[in-house]
Amino acid sequence: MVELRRAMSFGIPDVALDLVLAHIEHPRDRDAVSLVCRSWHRADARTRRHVTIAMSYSTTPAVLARRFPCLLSLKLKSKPRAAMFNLIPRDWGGAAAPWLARICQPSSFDLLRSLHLRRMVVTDPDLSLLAAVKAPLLLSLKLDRCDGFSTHSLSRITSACRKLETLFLEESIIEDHGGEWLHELATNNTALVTLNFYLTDLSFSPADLELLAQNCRSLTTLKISDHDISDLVGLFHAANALQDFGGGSFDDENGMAVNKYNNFYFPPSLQSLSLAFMATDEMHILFPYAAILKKLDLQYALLSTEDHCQLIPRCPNLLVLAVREVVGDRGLEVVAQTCRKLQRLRVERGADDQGGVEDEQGRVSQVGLISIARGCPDLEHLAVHVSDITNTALISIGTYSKNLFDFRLVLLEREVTITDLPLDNGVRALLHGCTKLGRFSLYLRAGGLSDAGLGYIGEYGRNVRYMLLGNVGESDRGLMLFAGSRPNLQKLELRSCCFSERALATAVMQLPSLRYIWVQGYQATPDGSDLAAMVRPFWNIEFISPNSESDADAQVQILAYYSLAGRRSDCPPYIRCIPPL
Amino acid sequence: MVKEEKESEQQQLDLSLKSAAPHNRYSQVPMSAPQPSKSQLTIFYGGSVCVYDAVPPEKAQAIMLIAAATAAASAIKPPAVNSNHIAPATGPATSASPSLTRSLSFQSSSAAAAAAAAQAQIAANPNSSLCKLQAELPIARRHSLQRFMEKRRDRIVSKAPYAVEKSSDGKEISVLESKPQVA
Repeated sequence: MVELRRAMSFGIPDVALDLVLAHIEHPRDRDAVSLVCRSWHRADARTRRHVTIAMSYSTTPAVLARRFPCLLSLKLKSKPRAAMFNLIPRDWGGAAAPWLARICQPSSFDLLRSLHLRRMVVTDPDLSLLAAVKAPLLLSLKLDRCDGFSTHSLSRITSACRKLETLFLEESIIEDHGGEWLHELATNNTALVTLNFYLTDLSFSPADLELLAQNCRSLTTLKISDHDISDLVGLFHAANALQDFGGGSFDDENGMAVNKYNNFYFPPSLQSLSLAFMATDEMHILFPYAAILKKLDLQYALLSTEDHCQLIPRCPNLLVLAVREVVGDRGLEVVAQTCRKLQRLRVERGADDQGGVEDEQGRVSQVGLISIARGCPDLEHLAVHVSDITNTALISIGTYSKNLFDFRLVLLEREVTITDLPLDNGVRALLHGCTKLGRFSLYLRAGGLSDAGLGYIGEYGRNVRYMLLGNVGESDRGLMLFAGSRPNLQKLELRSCCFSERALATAVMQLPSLRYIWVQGYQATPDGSDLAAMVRPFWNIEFISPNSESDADAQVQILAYYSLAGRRSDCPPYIRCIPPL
Repeated sequence: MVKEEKESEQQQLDLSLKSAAPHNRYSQVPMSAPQPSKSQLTIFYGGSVCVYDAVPPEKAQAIMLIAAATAAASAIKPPAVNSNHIAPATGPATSASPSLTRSLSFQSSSAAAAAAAAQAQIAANPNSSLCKLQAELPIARRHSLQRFMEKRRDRIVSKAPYAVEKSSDGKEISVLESKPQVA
């Protein structure tokens, strides 16, 4: 028997195998390792450091504990992405409680030191349990776009977990009972590297932040909620190692603004800035630091198109830039001329311009896109909201943006007439030219993409793993053309399309790698009965009816995903699982 | 057997099941032919005729559907491709839309066949017309940007509360000075 086992392990002792496997991290490689034989399966289980569960209902905490008892790091995601757009009902699900209960059982996940929960519901008891059980080991806690907890349990975490290097709370909805949690962190912790409570509305005392910066000499990333940055002068003088700062706020008084923020000091190590509510008058405080900046986020700034054209030429070393539409085609031209090393660009949607809040030049079109494609060859991520578009712009991207991995385009409803629709040829050229494309998102309008064009997406986007498509195609025929090419899509989101329920179900069955689909806005039946065409083992189908309590648009949604856990038991009454029991 | 080409751009596929039709756009079926059997299918295409015996009704209907879908697709497509007006217009498909007649009548007159073909042609792509009639969902806003817009509005209002023209609806606040132009 011993000889047989050794032969199966190819003469490699377990210890040696573990050492070798320690260097193999990519999940797909790990999957392959685990399928070789039982011995290697066990070795993988012993040595796998990190697991990401992209859909928490696809498995159970008990299964995870059995399979990977020695995990160092776990990431869990639950609610559909649409939750970030207020489209998912608050009580849809996504509770972290069963996971935290299992993680915190005695002799369970003894090595776990890093936990990342994204778009989940986390309660005060959950966090209190975590603090009580895992405090000695916990190095990193990320509650990323979560909700359901308050600063009470946050205080428990920060007072108990003294070795915490990362505390990440970005965009979580947290009940605020005061800044005690930050005071606990500042007084108990010297190891902190990252503190992020950006886009939360938590209150805090600047003195605590300054104390934190003094005690935590390795503090590299600090992103905070709104607070006048003139109160943070002490903080910036103390935080010598700071590389990334985000948040804050600027006071609004005319005239006084000029004096208050003059010669503002940021640590010279600063590489990444995101200053909220920074306006024209205050922009100059960035000038001494602009040349070394690698990341700049102006999505929450109050700058005009001209301001962007003044600021960006000073930032030739930018790798990452995020702006709103107010940057305009003119601003993008400046970006293309200056930021030759740019890797990621996001142009977010601005206000709908009632009342002249945004700059009237502040619209982005094919002109800006073509400039960017030509000027920034290193671009890997491009996400833009445009008011106008042409096939030529997309063809340019396909021609020049050879490193593009993630492309997202939203055609806004600003103009009645679009210069050049449908975008069939442009989309085809882009998908054909950008050979590294893994994520693709296209949100158009009626007439934006014909059935043939939708077919092109299936045919030329064969290696794209994630797609979001909105208002594409003209009929079920387009969807059949798309699915008929059998692209290797893993995750699909569809919105505001004209497809029938039956066609959707048929298409799903034709996509060989699909493991997750979300749809809103299609020709639904009253009870999802046509979804019967996609009933299959291990495929959970949720038919989500709009109800009066939901925040969502009053439109039915379909959510379907592979699961080894069976149907979930915490569905609210307006969600119908198909087939019904 | 005169085939009149009414539309020069597209080939007409005439399906004739030897049934009655109230208005006959297409050519006449010869009446001098021997009495057709119940399952005989005659196809006029591009100046030639094919006759098929023993075609079951389901198959005949399938052939009609295919032909109608193809013809309807090429009829509807040009407006979409050339369109510079993206208001949700209804295509030609909706102008006359009796539902596809599923019952076949096997009468000997030819008129009904032409009507059935015409009806099939128009209604075979119901999705397309429904697409254009159905209201599109508004593009959803990201929560973080939405919060920012609300806060920005609050700042403007608190700075100059009496400059508000319409205070009842948050969306229609207009102020005398907008932030970027402050000296």
